Amino acid sequence: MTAAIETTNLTKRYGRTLALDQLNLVVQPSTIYGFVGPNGAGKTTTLRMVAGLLEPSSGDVRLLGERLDRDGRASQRLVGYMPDFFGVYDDLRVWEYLDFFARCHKLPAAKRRSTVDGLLELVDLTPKRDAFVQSLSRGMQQRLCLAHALVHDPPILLLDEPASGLDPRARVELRELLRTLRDMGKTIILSSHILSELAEVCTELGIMQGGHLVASGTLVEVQRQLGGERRLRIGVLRGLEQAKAVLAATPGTGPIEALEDDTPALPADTSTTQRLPEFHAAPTMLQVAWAGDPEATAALISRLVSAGVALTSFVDETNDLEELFLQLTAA
Amino acid sequence: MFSVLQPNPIIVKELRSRMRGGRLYLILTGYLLGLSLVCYGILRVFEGQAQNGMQIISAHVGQGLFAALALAETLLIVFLTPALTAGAISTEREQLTYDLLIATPLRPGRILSGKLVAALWYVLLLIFAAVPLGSVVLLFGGVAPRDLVKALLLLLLTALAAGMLGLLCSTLAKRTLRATIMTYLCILAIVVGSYFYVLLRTASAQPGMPVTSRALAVSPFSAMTSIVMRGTNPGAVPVPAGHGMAMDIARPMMMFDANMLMNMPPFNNFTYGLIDYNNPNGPVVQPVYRYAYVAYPLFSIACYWLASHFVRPRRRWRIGLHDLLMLTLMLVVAGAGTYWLDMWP
Repeated sequence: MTAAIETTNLTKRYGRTLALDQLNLVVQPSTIYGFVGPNGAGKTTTLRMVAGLLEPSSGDVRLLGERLDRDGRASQRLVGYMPDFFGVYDDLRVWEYLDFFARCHKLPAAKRRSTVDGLLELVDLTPKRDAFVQSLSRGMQQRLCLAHALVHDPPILLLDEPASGLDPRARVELRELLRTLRDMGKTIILSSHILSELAEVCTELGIMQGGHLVASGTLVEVQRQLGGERRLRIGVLRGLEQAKAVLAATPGTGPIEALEDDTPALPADTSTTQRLPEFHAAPTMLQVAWAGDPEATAALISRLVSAGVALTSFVDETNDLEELFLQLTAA
Repeated sequence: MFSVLQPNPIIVKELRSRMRGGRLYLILTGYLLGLSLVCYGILRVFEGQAQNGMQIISAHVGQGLFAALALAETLLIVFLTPALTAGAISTEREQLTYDLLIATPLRPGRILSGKLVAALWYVLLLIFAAVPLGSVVLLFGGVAPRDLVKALLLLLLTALAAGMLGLLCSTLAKRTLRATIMTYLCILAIVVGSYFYVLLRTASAQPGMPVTSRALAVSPFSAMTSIVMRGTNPGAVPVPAGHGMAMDIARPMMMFDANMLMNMPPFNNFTYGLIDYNNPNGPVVQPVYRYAYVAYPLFSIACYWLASHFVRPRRRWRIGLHDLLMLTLMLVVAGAGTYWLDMWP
């Protein structure tokens, strides 16, 4: 299958500064690819080069197999770009704003109206059709900017920090919108600092550091590449020994660790009758490294229950991306 | 194919935002009121002179009105047009819409032409709105309609050149304020610089030696003055060989004349024309505005050419077909212009 985006040894220098060093990236169609990295890692530079706004110092970009030409015409046709800091034409109405970009993309007059209306519907701005852009909230402007990137129905979307400055509700709405777009067959690359969000919405991730792509793939693959491990945290009320035995016998598990009880210690002179039942009923927390897939996780839970282990909690700690990211960037 | 026939999106957008609301009508009303007041003031001056016993004929009034209106409009065009174009590209950068714009298939040339036309549209509206007022001079007489057309053409070319200069500065500077200052400094250098250059040359010349300079042609005020002088002294063209500045022979000084404005600095140092001594038929005067008719389009094309490179997001200085076309256009304009000015041997 032809990759939606493929970069080969993509490099960008600003004078003596190496902003991007031989990036080899492959993004398959209909995926949501998340770029993670600290400021100055090269995320925006990459997105701008793929969008045809920045000339690479060396290397190639291919969009759906088509090599990015000198004038960036392929990207203008195939890519919808939403920059990290964007402005809007305040003195235009919402429909006029989209109509302007539709004209820029040479949409015929007959198709413009339906395109604008369809996009307003998609980003839920139909009630604001005749409002001036300056009267929109930040979240609405963000959605409008996203709509502008979709005006020529591009198969690839590049969104640079699309969730920055949005309140939690607007973020949830944006996430839903991205999923809808993916279901429509769009390939989306987005960059964000909000790692948990990326982990939730992205099908693939790329971690950038100092102009290099440090890791790329699904979340599990990225964690593996970065040396991070998944852990299971299991609360066991009864049957601790059985639980340990089941875990030890299950392939993909690492050393089992019983976490220290964080129940407050009772004074030595406390009589048995004074002890509250819940102190006695506190479960033991077991922590174990885990490399199984979701099927294996479900099977493990089943085996624990079958072995008579009374579980109070079972947490698959897969989203320690932030921790890995912090370790990486600290290094 | 039909997309080519569609109007430039930039023009549509700019006109939508510029022409919205009552701002335009207020500006237009204020502008016409201002020009009307200028006309009224001129009429009052003539009225006062007549009451003081001077002999005023209708043609003097017409010529005076023509001179005042033409120069007032030149002033307006020279200083208003850059204000409208100097922010064309830099504002897009400032309000962070530049990336959105250049990510579309719009060619840099189309972005520039859209911005220029939208800005000039505004100026053209002002110029043409003043045409009925300008035609009042025909009622008084003394000015040929041909001179009105010449003045109008010069105003249009001046607006084009000033607009292009503003546009070029806008592509060079990242901030609108800097672009505006840069544009006005260039205009001051052209207008004031050329004036003082000619003054210095005149002062340092030996008495009796002809002193004229084509530097005068770069100033729109000088060019417009030459049209106004021509309008008031239609017969003053022949030049005796070896004479000094054409102004001295082209225009008799009469304090009560409609040319009283022309007797005041800086206009009294402008000239009707430059003496061409190389003409096979003997020395002839080439009116200054003729040079301006050639110089301003050339200047505009050069500014547009540079701006179209600076506005590119990538490969700014890659030479292409566009450059060949621009060069050809400049050569054609320069060739035709110099032929028209009898500069060819």
